[in-house]
Amino acid sequence: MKNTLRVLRAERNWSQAALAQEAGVSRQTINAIETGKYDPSLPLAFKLAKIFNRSIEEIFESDALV
Amino acid sequence: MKKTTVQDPAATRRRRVALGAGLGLVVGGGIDLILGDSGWGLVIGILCGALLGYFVRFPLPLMEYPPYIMRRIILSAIFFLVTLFASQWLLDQELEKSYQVLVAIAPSIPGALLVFSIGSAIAQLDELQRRIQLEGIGIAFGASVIIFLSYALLVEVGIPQVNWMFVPLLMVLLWGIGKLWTMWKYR
Repeated sequence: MKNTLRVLRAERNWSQAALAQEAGVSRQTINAIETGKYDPSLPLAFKLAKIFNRSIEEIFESDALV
Repeated sequence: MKKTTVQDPAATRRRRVALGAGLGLVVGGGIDLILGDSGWGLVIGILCGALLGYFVRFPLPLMEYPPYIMRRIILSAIFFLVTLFASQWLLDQELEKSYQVLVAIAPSIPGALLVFSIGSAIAQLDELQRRIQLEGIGIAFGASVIIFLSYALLVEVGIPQVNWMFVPLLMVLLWGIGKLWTMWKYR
C-alpha cells in the first residue's frame, strides 16, 4: 500500500518522533509505514487521517488499484 | 504538536543495561549449566551483559516500555533468581524427600510471574511492535521444534542427554534472535 505520509509530515515540518507521539505509536512504526514496509491497522489509519485532517483515501492508496 | 522529540540518553542507557543484563542472564545460565550449576555463570553473565550495555553504544532499535512495566520485569527477574539460588542451596542440604519436591519446584512460581510480566509488557506495545514480538516468538517456536526434534533423533543413536534447563534458555535466546531479525526487517 502506498501512502503520502512522508509528504504530509514534511509539509508541516514534523519529525517522525513528533508524529509518532501524536499518534500514540513508536517512531519505528511511523518509519515502517512511510517506507511501505508495514500497512497500518484501520484504527491507526483513521487516527493518522484525523491528525492530518484528511480522509484515509487521500493518504493511503492500494497498490492493487494503481 | 512538538516538532522534535529528544531521547533521554540516560533512559536509553538504562534500556541498554537492562537488555545486556537480560542477554547475560540467558548466556550466563547456559555457561552455568556447563560449568556444573554453581551459580557463578549466571552472576558473571548478568554483570558482563550489564557492563556491555553500559559502555557499548550498540545501534539496536530498542522497544520502549513504560517505567512501571520495566520495574515489574526487573523485580520479577530478581525474585526468580533469588528463589532459584535458594532452591539450589536448600536441595544441597539433604532435605526430606517430600520437601525436596516442593523446594525444587518453588522457582516455577516467580518464573511464571516473570513470564506474566513480560506478557503484560508486550501488551503495552504498539501494533507493529506487537507484530514484531509475535513474529519473533513464531521464529523461536519453529526453530525450537526443529532443533529439539533433531536432538531427540540424535539421542536415539546415543549422543549424551543435556540438562532440561537448556530448553527454556535456548528458546529465550532464539526468541531474541527472531525478534532482532524481525526488527531489522521493519527497520
